[in-house]
Amino acid sequence: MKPKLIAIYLLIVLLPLGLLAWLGSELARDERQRVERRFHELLRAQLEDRNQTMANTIADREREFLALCEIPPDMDVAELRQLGRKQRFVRQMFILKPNGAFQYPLLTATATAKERGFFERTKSVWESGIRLGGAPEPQNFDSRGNSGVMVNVVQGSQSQAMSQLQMKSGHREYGWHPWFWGNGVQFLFWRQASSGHVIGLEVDRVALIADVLSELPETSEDETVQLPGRIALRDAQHNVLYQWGAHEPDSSDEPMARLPVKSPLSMWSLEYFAAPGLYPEGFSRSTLFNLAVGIVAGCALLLWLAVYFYRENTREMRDAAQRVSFVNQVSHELKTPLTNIRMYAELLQAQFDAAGRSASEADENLGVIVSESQRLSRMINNVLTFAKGQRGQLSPNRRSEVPDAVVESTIEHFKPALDAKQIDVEFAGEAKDSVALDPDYLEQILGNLLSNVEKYVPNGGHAKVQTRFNGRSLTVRVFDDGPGIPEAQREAVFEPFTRLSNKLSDGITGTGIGLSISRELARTHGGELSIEATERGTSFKLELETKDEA
Amino acid sequence: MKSMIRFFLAAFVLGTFSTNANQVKLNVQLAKPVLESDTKQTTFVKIGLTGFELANDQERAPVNVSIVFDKSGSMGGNKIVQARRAAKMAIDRLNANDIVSVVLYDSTVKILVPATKVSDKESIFAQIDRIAASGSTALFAGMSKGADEVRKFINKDRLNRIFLISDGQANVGPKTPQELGELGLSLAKEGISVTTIGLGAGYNEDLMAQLALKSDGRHSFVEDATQLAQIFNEDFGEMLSVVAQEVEVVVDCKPGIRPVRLLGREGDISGQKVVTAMNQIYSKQEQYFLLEVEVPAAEKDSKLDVATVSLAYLNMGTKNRDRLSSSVAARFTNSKAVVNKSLNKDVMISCVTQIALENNQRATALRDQGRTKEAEALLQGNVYFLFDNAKKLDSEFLRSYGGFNQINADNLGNDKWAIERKKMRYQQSRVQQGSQSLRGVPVQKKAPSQSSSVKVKIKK
Repeated sequence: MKPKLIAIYLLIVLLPLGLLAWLGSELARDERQRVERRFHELLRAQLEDRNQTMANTIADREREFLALCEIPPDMDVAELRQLGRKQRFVRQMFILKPNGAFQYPLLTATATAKERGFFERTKSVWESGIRLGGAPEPQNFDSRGNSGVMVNVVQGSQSQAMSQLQMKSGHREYGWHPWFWGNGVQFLFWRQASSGHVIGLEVDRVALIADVLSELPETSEDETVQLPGRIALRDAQHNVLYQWGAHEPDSSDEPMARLPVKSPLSMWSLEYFAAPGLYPEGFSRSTLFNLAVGIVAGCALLLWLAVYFYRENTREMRDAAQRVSFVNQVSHELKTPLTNIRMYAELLQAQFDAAGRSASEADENLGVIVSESQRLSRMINNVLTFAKGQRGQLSPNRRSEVPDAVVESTIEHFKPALDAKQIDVEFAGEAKDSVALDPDYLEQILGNLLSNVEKYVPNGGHAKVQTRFNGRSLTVRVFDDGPGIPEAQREAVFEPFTRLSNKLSDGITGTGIGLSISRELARTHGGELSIEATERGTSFKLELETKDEA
Repeated sequence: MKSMIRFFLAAFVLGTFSTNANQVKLNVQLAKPVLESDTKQTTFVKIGLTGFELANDQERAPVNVSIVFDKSGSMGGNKIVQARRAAKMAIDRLNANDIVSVVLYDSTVKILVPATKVSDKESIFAQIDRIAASGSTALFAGMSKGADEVRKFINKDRLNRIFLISDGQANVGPKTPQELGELGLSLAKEGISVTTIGLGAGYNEDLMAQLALKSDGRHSFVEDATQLAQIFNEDFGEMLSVVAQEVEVVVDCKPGIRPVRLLGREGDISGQKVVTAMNQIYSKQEQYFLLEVEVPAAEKDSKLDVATVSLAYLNMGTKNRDRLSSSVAARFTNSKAVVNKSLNKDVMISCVTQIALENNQRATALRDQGRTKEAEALLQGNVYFLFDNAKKLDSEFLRSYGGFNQINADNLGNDKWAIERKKMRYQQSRVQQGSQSLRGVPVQKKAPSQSSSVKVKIKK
């Protein structure tokens, strides 16, 4: 009983605790995801800021380039060369005629080494057939300036799509054109003049990178404005171009946020590596503390409740045990005077019988005293047996006895009470051999059964007691034609303190332990007490194990 | 004979241009003022620019300098101590008219001292003393930021400079010598020169040399950190002696004359016109470049104008833009003796130097490809060429350069090639920039050479 109870208590405590912990962790995960999302948004916003810084730098350069491309299309070659020498971001100027052919530079004998280098670098651009500006017809990009074919131009929309062009009211007037050469992506910037000429420049890639970098923040010396992480700018090959922030991420670290750089540097990307301390652990410290306190308080409450109920329960059990022991002791104390009363009443009856005054009123009164004291004695016996059973101290005291003699004397004891209710008891004894059994057990069980007959069988009823040996056991059957026991309750009557429906038990007193004790006694005696199915009335079947005659 | 002398004199007078004390001296000379007649030939024109003398320190142009420090992990220990000392020594030479900034880089960039007037040296020194070494090397980013600091106060009347001290490779951002060279070139367009000082055996000398040469700055190699302050100080002092900036030189070759190539400086050659630029001219130092020209066949005793050189520069003393020009003409004779007699030794020495330099650079490239034997042969040839000409032209410089080439040749197989290569690059950059002496260029200890013992074995 006790381990089961402890298991139940553990269940009562652990189940809600587990539930609480699970809910807590779910909450924590949710919170973590929410904070993470917000955190990522925050990082992205910071990257967006930087992206804007770069876009501004590019916009500045674009204005500068647009101004540069305002030069007259027929500008002197020497001046164009001077622009390439003087302008920080210009590697080489170029001018295309309205038909797309080169006006400057030209691959002639007087071309400088720089101009030759320009054609070498940009060869793939012209070979791709790209059209810068809205030249009307397919053009032959011819670096010699005449219409001879140097590069066959494939005209097509897909080649135009390559160019990252800026639109102005639907008509392309200027744009950036990226291409890959040498150490990375290079850019041409071009503008179409009203004359149809395209004036452009090859952007000095390194100078442009240096310019973009110089506008980005550096790692601050000041701890208070320090970037709490690391932002890295990566090029198309994923190499770091520039980075700032004091946090040094491992090479295996994944960035918390990534953002492609705006056009025309769209093959670059910005990455944010947050410092470990910065990254939220899902909860703020205070939320985590609150949750922990909640869980601990919940646990404490549950434990307290469990302990409280356990103590209440054990106290009640102790009280009950004390009561049983009290009743037991009282029963013991009652038994001795009762036995004396019964003994002397029976002696007196015997003396009356011997004196031949059997029909007298006093004799009848004496019979009542005897039978009532016998009933009280049975009750006390039952109580004491129950207490013994509770303590596990029951054990039969076998003696050599003839069962029928015991049964007959027990029925004899009930005779006056049964006669008073005009219940007729028939005895069919077939167990006349002496066997080893505890006659007190048999007497007490049979007494309880007959007592039930007396209580429940209506006046003028009929009962029958049958005994027989069945192998190595004695079978005693008690039939009656009383109201019977519904089949569903045939086991329930053996539970202690159980009495059947009010209708049946109305006005009938009893302790409610008789059948329970009887069954326990039968089982202790290696037998069984059960109810047999009958058409009407009740049939109790008692089996007791008997040893061979001693 | 008389007429010959007259022509000679005329060529001499035309070839030299006398200047007043506060102007840059432009000196245009032909290697052979008298050429062999009736044959098409090439010769060299030397264009030399010499800065005037500064009367005293007060006259020098104010500077706007950014000192860019590599503070990556490898700079730890004595290197960073010496670098701090060098920077402080240099800044100590500046005054309240000057502007300085200090930029640090490892894997990221920090601006230690934003561009500021040098009025409170102590606080700048205190900042510099806090520099500690750690991290990797974002050289490109450091340079970009240093340039940006210079740009804050950029002014053509100032000497806009970056000093870069690094002992490492660039490993964050653009990192090839070519890219850093391009950066140098774009900075030069803004009038910013970069002086690079490579420290120890670990830095990328090609990258540091390219960055300096393309921006017209100096490149130095400091093997031992204790020499850093001295070398830095020398470079810094040289910078303070700049007398002219934004120097543009245009060489107009006369009809019939074809410019072939430039030696000692890059420039644009287009048709008859050669355009080149320098960032600065230093006081009392000659900077020169050579133009190889093809001269058509001409009759004897005829005279041919070869080229006119126009020079424009910003005079840092007067803040004016000065313009000068000078022409050179050649005379023809059928006498080889006269031709040889006319040889201009100064120009010839420069030619020999530049040719030897090209060979020396090729030897480095060969050695890089593992073709050590070929490199050694090339350098040995160089040594004979230089010694031979040193004797002919009676040039102490060529002799010493020959000595350097011999040492280079002996050290190609040295197991400390990384160091030797840095010395070679340093020496090359000095020669290329027209240094008149190789004093200060570290001399390789002539190894008790395994390579020579190898040679002996081969001979056997």
